[in-house]
Amino acid sequence: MSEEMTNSKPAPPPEKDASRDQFDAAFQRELERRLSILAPEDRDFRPIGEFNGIDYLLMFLFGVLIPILAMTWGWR
Amino acid sequence: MGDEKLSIEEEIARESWNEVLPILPHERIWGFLDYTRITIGLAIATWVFLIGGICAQFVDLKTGTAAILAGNSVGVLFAALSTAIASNKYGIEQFTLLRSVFGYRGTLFPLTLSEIIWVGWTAILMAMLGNVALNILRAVMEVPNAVEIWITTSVALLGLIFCWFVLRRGAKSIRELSRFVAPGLGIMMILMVVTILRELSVGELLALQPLDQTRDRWEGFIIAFELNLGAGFGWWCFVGNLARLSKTKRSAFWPNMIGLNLFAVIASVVGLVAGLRFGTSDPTQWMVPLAGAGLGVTMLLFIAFGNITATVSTVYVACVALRQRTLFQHMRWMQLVTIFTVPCAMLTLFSGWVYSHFGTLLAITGTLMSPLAGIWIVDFFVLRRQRIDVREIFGTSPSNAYAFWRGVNLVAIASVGLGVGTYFLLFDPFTFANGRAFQSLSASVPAMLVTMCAYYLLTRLFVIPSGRGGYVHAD
Repeated sequence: MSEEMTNSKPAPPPEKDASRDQFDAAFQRELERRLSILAPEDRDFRPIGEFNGIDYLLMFLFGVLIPILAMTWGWR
Repeated sequence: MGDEKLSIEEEIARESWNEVLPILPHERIWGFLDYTRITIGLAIATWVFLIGGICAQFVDLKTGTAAILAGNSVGVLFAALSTAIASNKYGIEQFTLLRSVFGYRGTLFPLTLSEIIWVGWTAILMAMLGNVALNILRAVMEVPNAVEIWITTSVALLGLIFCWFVLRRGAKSIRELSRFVAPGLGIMMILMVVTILRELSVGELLALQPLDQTRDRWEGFIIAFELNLGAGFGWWCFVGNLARLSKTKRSAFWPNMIGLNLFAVIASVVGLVAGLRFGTSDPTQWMVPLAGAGLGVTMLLFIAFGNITATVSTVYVACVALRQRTLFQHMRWMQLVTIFTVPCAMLTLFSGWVYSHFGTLLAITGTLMSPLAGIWIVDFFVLRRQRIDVREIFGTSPSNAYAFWRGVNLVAIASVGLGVGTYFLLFDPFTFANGRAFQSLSASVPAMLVTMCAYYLLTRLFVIPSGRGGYVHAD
């Protein structure tokens, strides 16, 4: 993780009296700062961890096997 | 973001600001256990009594437990798969990220559908509050039948007005109070189970019959399954915005299956048991017979408290979500709250009808949310191969990758329309009229599958060849 990512702090929104244009401009600046961290030149995002076979097996369990077993048991 | 005292307008501006901006990796605060605790807290709310109670109309304890477990498992799995992975990967607010599916103007469509669900749940919670008041009065005095509807409707409306006033001051304090609701309801459920098991054996509980004896047993089983699919899919509106705060993909996804699924199932089964035991699907009628007048009234007061905190949180979330849209961005906070609460108040005027049609709300939730879950799964996992251009998500120029047709993806809207139409063909959410097809397939699952197939085919046939939608990874 780069120093910028670990040290960056969210900038607060402008004060309540700020005009709509000032608010929008501040928002765009903060958005651009964040996008430059999240999506550098290649404009691709860095994934934060992937699923493996166990995750897909558990998904099958919850999405297919448990409902079928529950419905079969419930109806018997 | 310190602890300095903020006015409500500043607080909302700050919240809206933080909602729209993408979250950076180091700003993600929840590990696996943190998010699991959050989802358990969300799952154990007063509405689980309503869900268990409505199931008691159609199924006995054994088939009901199976229907609740199966329906919730499927519903929560697809709702979480649809929203949690994408929102967590990019750290972007759910309805903003949906621009990749519906276009930057078209996201108003899923947001409107979600707002309809939020209005319905708010009205139900307030109608339940009215019934809490009625049952407290019944415990201490004779209440003539003719005035019952006046009591429930006026208390429901007063409750909504109270929530409106609370939201004038900001929702922070009452949302903090809401963290006591889940433990309190958990204790109440244990008390309910212990009391019922002291009266009846497990065998006697299993022998209790559904409240509505006019339906075929299998039909009742599938209706209960369908209503729990609706309960599971209902989390679609919330999950993405919660999951983006988790540190890893696993901690964004699996806690949903533990909290929103397993704990909600346990709590709903307690509601089912109570519904069967007391012969009514209305949870507000369980407490006094269960615990006597003194403790019963205390339990009802706690349910009232739970309903108020849940309503304030729901209205707050719904209004902050509206605030993301340009139309509402610079509107004053209380104007926005008023715009949201007026339809809730209109529904609350018919609190008797609303409360007796809780099953319809669950079914409508399945009708609207299952196609939305399906369409995002196809778009993100199949067509985009889990890659979205985050810069283009925030662009609104005509040349933007997610501009589609003037900012609206007509194919996505048509596909959701087909899914909703499929649902109505199979199952009438108002009368629960259904046919053989529903009894074999249910309604939410086919509605989701039709949406997925239609969206995939129409996108391949029309959107990608026309160069719209930024589907660079589709081949």
